Formats: sequence, C-alpha cells, structure tokens
Amino acid sequence: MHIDAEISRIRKNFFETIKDIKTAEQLTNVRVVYIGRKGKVSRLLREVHGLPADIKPRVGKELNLLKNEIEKNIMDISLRFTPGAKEEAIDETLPGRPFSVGGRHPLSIIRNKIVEIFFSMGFSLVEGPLMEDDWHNFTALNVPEFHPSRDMHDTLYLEGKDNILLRTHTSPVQVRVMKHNKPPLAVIVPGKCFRNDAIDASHFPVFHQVEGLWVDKDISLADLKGVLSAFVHRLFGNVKVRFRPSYFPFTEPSVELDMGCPVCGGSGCSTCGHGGFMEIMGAGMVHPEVFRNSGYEEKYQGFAFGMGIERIAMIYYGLADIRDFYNNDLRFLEQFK
Amino acid sequence: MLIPVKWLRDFVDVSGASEVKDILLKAGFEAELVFSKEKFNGVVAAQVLKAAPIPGTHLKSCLVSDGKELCSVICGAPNVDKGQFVAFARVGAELPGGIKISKRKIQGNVSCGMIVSEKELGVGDGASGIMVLKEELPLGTPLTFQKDEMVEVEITPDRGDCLSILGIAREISFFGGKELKNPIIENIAEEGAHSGFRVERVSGSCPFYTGCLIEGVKIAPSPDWIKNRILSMGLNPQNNVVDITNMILFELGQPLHAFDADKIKSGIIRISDAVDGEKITLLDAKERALKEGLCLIRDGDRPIALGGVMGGAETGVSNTTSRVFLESAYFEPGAIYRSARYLGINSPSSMRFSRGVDPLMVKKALMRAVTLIKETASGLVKEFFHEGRVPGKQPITVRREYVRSLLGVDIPSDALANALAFAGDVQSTDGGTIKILPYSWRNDLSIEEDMVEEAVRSIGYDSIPPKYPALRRMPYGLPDPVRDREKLMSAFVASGFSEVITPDMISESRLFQNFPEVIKIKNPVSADMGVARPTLFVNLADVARHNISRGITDVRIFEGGSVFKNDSGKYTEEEMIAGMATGLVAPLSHYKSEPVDFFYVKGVIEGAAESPPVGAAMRMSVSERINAPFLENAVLFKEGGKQLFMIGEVTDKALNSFDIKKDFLTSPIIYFEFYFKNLPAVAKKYSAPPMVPASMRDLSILIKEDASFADVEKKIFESGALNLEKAVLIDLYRGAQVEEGKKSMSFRLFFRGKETLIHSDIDAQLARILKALADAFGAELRKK
Ligand SMILES: [Zn+2]
Repeated sequence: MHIDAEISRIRKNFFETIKDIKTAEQLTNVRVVYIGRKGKVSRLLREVHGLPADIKPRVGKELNLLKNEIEKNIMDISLRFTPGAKEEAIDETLPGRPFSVGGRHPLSIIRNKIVEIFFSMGFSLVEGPLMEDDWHNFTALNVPEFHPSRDMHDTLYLEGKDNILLRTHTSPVQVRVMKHNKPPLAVIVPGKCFRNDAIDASHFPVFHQVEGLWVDKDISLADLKGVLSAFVHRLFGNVKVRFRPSYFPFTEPSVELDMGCPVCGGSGCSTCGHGGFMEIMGAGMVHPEVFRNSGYEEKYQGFAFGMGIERIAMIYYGLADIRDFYNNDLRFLEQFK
Repeated sequence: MLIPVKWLRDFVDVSGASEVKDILLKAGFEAELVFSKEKFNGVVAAQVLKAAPIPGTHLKSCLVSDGKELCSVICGAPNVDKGQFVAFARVGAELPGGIKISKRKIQGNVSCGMIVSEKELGVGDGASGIMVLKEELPLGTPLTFQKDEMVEVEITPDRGDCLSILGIAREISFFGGKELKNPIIENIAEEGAHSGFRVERVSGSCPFYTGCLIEGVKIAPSPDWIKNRILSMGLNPQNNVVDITNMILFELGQPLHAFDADKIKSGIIRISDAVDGEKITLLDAKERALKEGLCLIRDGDRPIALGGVMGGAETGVSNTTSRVFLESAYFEPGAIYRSARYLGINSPSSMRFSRGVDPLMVKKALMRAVTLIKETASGLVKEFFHEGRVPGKQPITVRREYVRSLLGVDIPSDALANALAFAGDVQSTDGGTIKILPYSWRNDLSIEEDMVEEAVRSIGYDSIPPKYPALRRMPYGLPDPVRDREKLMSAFVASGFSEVITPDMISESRLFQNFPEVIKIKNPVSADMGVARPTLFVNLADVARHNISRGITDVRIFEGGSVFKNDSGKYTEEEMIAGMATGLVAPLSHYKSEPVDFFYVKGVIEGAAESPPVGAAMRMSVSERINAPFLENAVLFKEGGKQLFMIGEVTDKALNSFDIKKDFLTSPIIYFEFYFKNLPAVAKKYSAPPMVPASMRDLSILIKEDASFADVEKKIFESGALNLEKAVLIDLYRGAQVEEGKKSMSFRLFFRGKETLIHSDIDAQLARILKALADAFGAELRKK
C-alpha cells in the first residue's frame, strides 16, 4: 500500500507545483523533478520490478498513466513559453482580413431595380444599337424630316454617313422589336442615349432611358395607368401619381406622369419647383403611324413609355447634379455598394 | 411662349398668374411663373434735396443726391417734391426703347440725369408722374423693378395655335370654365381707287395670300400701350407700323409683314420659289444664298422677303416710309420649316408658320392691323388683295366603341360630343359615331386618335380607372447574352472592381496612338466629345486620374460599354468590358497584401469567366504578345481564332499624357479588355458528386525555362495518362538549387477512376506523364 500512497502524493504535489509555474525554467525543473531520468516517477517505475507479482501489473499501469498525464500537462504549459506564443494571444477586436467588394454604378443599380419591377409584371428585356439610322430614330416614330417635332431632340449626327446618328432615345427599339415580333408583346428597353445638350446640373450629352411597350388587341390607356402607377408605387412607395396630357409624336393620346415630391411630400419645395410634383416619365398609346411603320397590317393597340434613368436615380437617391454620375469619383460610387 | 397676364385679360378673365398656370396644367401645358425683375444700368435710389419751380414753365429745377454726387436736374413731373426718395437715371444710363441719358439743356437749363417714372422704365403706366420710392433706400442703391405678371408656357410642336395670347386664352376658357372674349374685328372698306399694285401667286408653298396697300402713313413711335406690349414680350419698340405687326403676331398668332411699298418698284408682288444661286439680304442684315424650292416674296423678279420666315433688308419700313404694303398669308408648314431649317433661322414668323397658323385668321389679322395703323399712323386704305383659297379641313369620324377600347372607359355619346366640342364643330352624332370638323386653328387634329386625346384631355385623366392588362405571352425576362453580361459584371464587382459609366464621345486628340479611322461626330457638343470612342481606355484613364489625383491609390474600375469602329466606311459597334487596376490587391491593413500585377488581373478575368456558363475554354486559350495603344507587355488571349481578352501595363508615356502622377502609384496600372461576346458557348454537363475519392500525387520536374505552363499542362493531359482529372501547378521555382536555364515545376495531380485506384496503377500513369514531358521538353524528375 505504501506505493499507492506514494503515487497519489506525487500526483497531488505535481498539480500543486504547476499552478505556480511562471517561466520556462521552472517548467524544465518540474520536468526534471518528476519525469526526468532521475525524477520521482522514473524512480518509482524502476522500483516496479521488485514489487510482488499480484500488484506489479496494476502499479506499472498506474505509473505509466501518471507519467503520460504529467507529460501532457507539461506540454500544454510549455506552449505558453514557446517563442512567439505571446503574439498569438487572440485580440478578437482586430479587423478581419480585409476583402474588398466593388459595386455597380448607381445608374446600373437603378436600371436593374426598374427592370426587375417590370419583369415582375411580365415584361421581357430587349436592347438595341446605339448608332441608329434616321428612319428608326425619327421617321418611323412619326417624326417626319420637315416637322418641328424634329427640334424636340438635339441630335448628334455621324460624319461620313448621311443618315446615321447616335440614338436620341430608346424608342427606335420599339420599331425594331415590332418589325420582328407580332403581338402580344411586352418589352422593356434600357439603354444609353445621346443628345447635343450643353452640360449643366440636369443635362449631360449622354444619358440613359428605359423604354417600355405593351401591345395587344385591346390594351388601353386604363392599362397604361394601372401598370405605370404600380411601377411608381413599387419603386418609390406610397407617393401620389398624376397623369396629365402631353405631346409625343409617337403616341396618341400622350401623357406625362408626375409623382408627388418625395422631398416635401407634395406641399411644395425648391426641389419640385414648388409644385409638389416631379415629372418622371412620358407615355401614351402607340400612334397608328408607328404600327404602320413597323409593318403591322392588323389593328393593334398598346402603350409605350419612357423614362430617364438619371432623373429617377437623382430622385431616388436625393442627388442634385447629373454630372456626379459621370465623374466616377470612387468616394461617390462607394456609397451605393 | 411668354404670356403677360394683363394682356391675357383682354381675352379671358383670370385672377392671376397662378390660376393661369394651374388651368394650363390641366390642359396639358407646362407653365412657369416668371418672377422677372428688370434692372436698368445706372438707375439708382436718390433723394430730391431741392425742387424750385422755374418761372414761366411747368418745370422744376431740382437738386438730387445719388449718394455719389449732387446733380442739378430739370424735372417736368408735377409730383416731384423736396425730400422724396426717387428713381434716378444717372448720365449714361440706358432706358428701355434705347433712350440714353445724357447731359442736356431743357429750355436753357442744364440737366444732369433724369428722375424717372414707371412709364419710362416700361414697368407701369406712370400716370402719377415720377416714381416715388416707398422705402428709404441707401442713396446710390441700384434699383430693380417688378415687371408685369408673366407666365412662360411650354408649347409642344403640335400646338402652333397656342403660340398666341388668343390661343392660350381659348385653352383657359375651356379648361377653366370661363367665357372667351373673342376679339371684335371689323372689316374695313377700301378708300382709294385702284392702286396699280398686283399680287401673283406662283409658289405651291403659299395657298392663300392677302395684302393691303395703305398710303399716307405717318411713321412715328407707337403709343405707350403698344410699346408696353412689345416691351413685355422682350422686344424693343421700333415704330407704329412694325410694332403693330409684331403685337398682332403675339396676340392672334398670325405673322404679318409690312413692306415699304415705294421700294417695290415693279408694283408686282410675286410669290414664287427660289432657284439655286439666288441671294437675299434679310432684316438681320445678313446675306444668304438660297436653294431651289424655298418660298420667296419678290418685287417682280427680285427677292424681297423669304416667305414666312423673314423680310428683306431693302424693303423694310423706315422712318421715311409713307406707303405700306401689309402682307398676311398662309404658308405650308412643311415648306416654312424647310426654309427656316435650311437657313438656320428660327424667327417668330417661321415658328408659327411651320406649326401651321389659323387660315381663317389670316384676313382678320390683316383687318386688325389696318385698323390699328389707321388709328395710330393715319393713312388711306388704297386696296385689298386676296389670292388663293383658304385651305379646308376634313371632318373626323369618332367611334364611341373605339374611344372605349383605347381609353378603357366608356363615355356616353352626349358627354363625348360635349367633350369634343372644344376641338371642333360636331356635325352629327349618330348613335355610336360622332362626326366632327376640327376648328380652323387646330392643325394638330387629323385622325381619330387625335380626337380620342381631345376627349380624354377634356374629361380629365383622373376619370380613367387604372387597370391591369392580362399578359397573353410567356415572358422570358432577360435574354441570355444580357444575363451573361450581368453575371460577368457581378463577378468583377465581387472581385473588388467598381463599375464606372462614361460618355461614348471622346476627344480625338486623346488618341495619340494610331487608331484606324475613327467615327467623327458631325456636330459635336464640344471638341472634347468629337469622336465616337474606338476604345474604353481613354475614359478609364481619365477616371483613374480623377481618383488617383484625389489620393485614392487603390483603384479598380471596369466599364461595360461599346466601342465604335470604322472599317473602311462600315460603322460597327462592339460591346466589351474593360477595366483598370492599380494599388494593392487587398485594402490597406496590418495584414500582408500584394501589389496589383498582370497575373492578378488575369486571375480576376478567369474567375469572372467561370461564372457564366461558358467556363473552362478560357484556360485553354492561346496567348500572343501584341503592340496595343497606351500599353506595354500587352498580351492577347484567343480561343478558336477569336479574341477573348487582352491585358497590358500602361506605359509611362500614356501616364504622362493622361496626367497621372507616377509618384502617386503603388503598383503599375494594369489595363484589360474582355471581349466577352466571343466567349464560346459551352453546353455544361452536370452530375452527382463522385463516389470514389481522388488519389493525389505530386510530381516535381526540372524543365527548360522556355517551356510555357500552357504547353506543359497541355502535354500532361495529352500524355495518355488514364483517370487524370486535374493538374494544378503548386510550385514554380528558379534559383540556387536549379541549374541555369531551367526551372522547377511541381504539379499536384488528381486521379479518379470508377473504383479506388491502386498505387501501382497510378505510378504507371505518373511514368507516362514524365515520359511525355521528357520527350517534349527534356524534363527530368527533380530529386528531393
Ligand atoms: Zn417638393
């Protein structure tokens, strides 16, 4: 029994001792004292040979277990004293490994928001060329060559060709779509447009439009109102929507769509010119001349609309200067991530 | 069109500018209140210090202090008095109507400046004499004056009839429910014998021409009420005859022209078209070359006016004119638009004729002008002229059912007829259809849809209920190419790149390296936007410069856009994604980051291309060193003969030319173009995850320096090794332990069979690979 008491005393002492270890030297000493070649456990192990056969296996096993236990504890403690271990103490408040994500341009973000809303109403997307011919851009849209409605757009013409221009709106794509597709159709056409406009806070020679077209046998102005009101409410929330008469050569009747000013809520402020409303898009029932020019012989009806993405984005984000979109200052762009 | 509210009240009663604006909005016109304040140079606040009557006159000799000096001023106004604060025009001041204030003598007394009335400033009628300021302003303060209430109305090109006070009054009368006070115009009888004048109408551009010869006209300044109206429209008054024609243009929308009849030597007014090479000097004193087909007014053969656009310089009314030939006509809109556009003139006349004037107003306007000329310039009406016929209109049939179908709401026949009564004379209502003849001034109404618009304008858009149409076609949403582009862009964003959007027009001078024939813009906004961009580089470099010069050193940007190419006269546009990167791959932090380089950008592009279903073909592309504008070490990657992407380093010369300071950079600027439209379409196959684990082996070889990775990789797969799934280069080493001219490449090879592979079999495959590499490149196994 003497040896069992000895084992438990060694264990108890070991665990008392390691509580106070502060340095690597102390740990080395402990190792030498307990499991070194002349250490307490090693000495007892050597004595096992002389024990009676009935207790020899048990004591041997216990001593080996004790040796392993001591070794493991010394190993764990030694980690504290290995070189560099101090820095590895975790300061969980340090920033994570930086991983930078870029961002889409605000005009793309708004375009995608607009397009997604129309997708949910069943529209499909179409794109068209930026270099357009005079016929698609104007004549086919009921803007004859010698008509004052030509003056509504300041067009950029290309040298070396008589009738090629940079499209002034996305509407020519209406004709391109209808030439190749019979109704029913509902398409949305986002894209870049160009006009010879002097640059200021609300004009830039390059801008973006989203055009829409829904044609079938009996699409009406009531449908136009339903679809476009729903669009405005989806994008801007619960704002007032106002339709008023307007003129576009390619629609008849034509409407202008205003929404309640999100800045003042309709009471009038400098942003909305004190009218409480902001103009956001033009629309109307497709002019029969446009159907004719698209090669439709049967009688169809439909509505078309067009909005400036810059304008929508400026209202949506509360921005005042269109030029900010084209300066591409990363400090500006990063806000939209 | 500027509408002075006071003038408008001649035709319709309105409370003020705001009411006008609100009613017009309902009618579909955007209008803005004009709070214009007039400021006259040299008109300041001053105080009358002394006002002593000059004996024997109605004048007073005044001493005025304008804060700068004391001035003696002779004043004839009865209400001038000592102590008043007044509006004072200093010597040198300019008043409306071109009156210049100078030092002058009035009945022997020197007057230095003028105490002015509202009338002299054109801001009121000035009945009470000089203007006494209500507040005591600091002497010398420049004065501003509130003009009459005005509304600026935007008139769309279809509504030429609204380019007049009368036209706007008609809209306000209908949409505001107010009575229209039509102008009362009486016919005037000829007072003389036959004048000997003749009108010949040859041109098809002038279907209807009227005129009047007036003799014994006394040219003089207009009476104040006419002058004020001319001033209110922003014009300078000239003389009674010219002012009357201008006033009627604004009032009734009918342009008139007054000729000095004595200068029409032949006595024949001929309306005929120009022939090539003819010339005319117009009222703006510029000579213009004409082309065939432009409508001219001639004195016999000699052109004296460009019909409907502008009168000639030689035959205009002057102070010595005593015989006036007054013209009022209807010109074809298209013809006048063509003339005006050809000559680049946008005159008040051409603007109205090219939109179409009211043919029934032609003669009335002439009568009104003659009446006013007789009143203000006396004169004897010698003879009236009348050539051609007033163009008529066709009635339009409006079907109630079609109105219902187009508007989505049924309007009862009576209500519809009432609504349309504003647009024309309802000739008949027959159950389901209404026949209506548009009014003579409504040149915008010619088809049934036009009438539907009038109907909805009349009943109001609010009375249309919103509905949702049923979609009778399966939508496809995004077309595949657009979806792929969007996915690629998202991948660039995920890799840390910010999307930029830039103009498609750039300055040609920025393309200092050779670009084959660019596409120039005929009428550019500015030289900075003179060509359609043949590359996205220029704009991206500008964006990089903008940001780098603001202290942002990590710039990673991309743009999805088109470039424009002129292939010997064939204009094409090509979509691509291009980008630029400089700075550190990971943002500034205490962790280690690498500077941006060629392989970083290549990795981003390869990674992006994995996302759309086009994938792996990228890795198999072949590369080629190229000379690219603005770049060095540029490499073009191709697949199946098509360009896939290009990467290069921006040269110092380009940095210089784009004003990018090299000192600010922490890495080279890498530029890339990604021709994503050329990515081969790959039909992806999908399968369940493999059941059998892969076996991995590492193979390290020593190989000649000039064996490219792509060639080695290709050879590994072509070696005939079985079950080889993937080979990843895990180490590339050159240096002390490798002999000169060679490199060490280590590949981790992944083998996977239908069943777990046995060691000896994999060893056999490894031997195959090593042999293939040894045969092709002299590669040998690297001994550890
Ligand atoms: Zn507001």
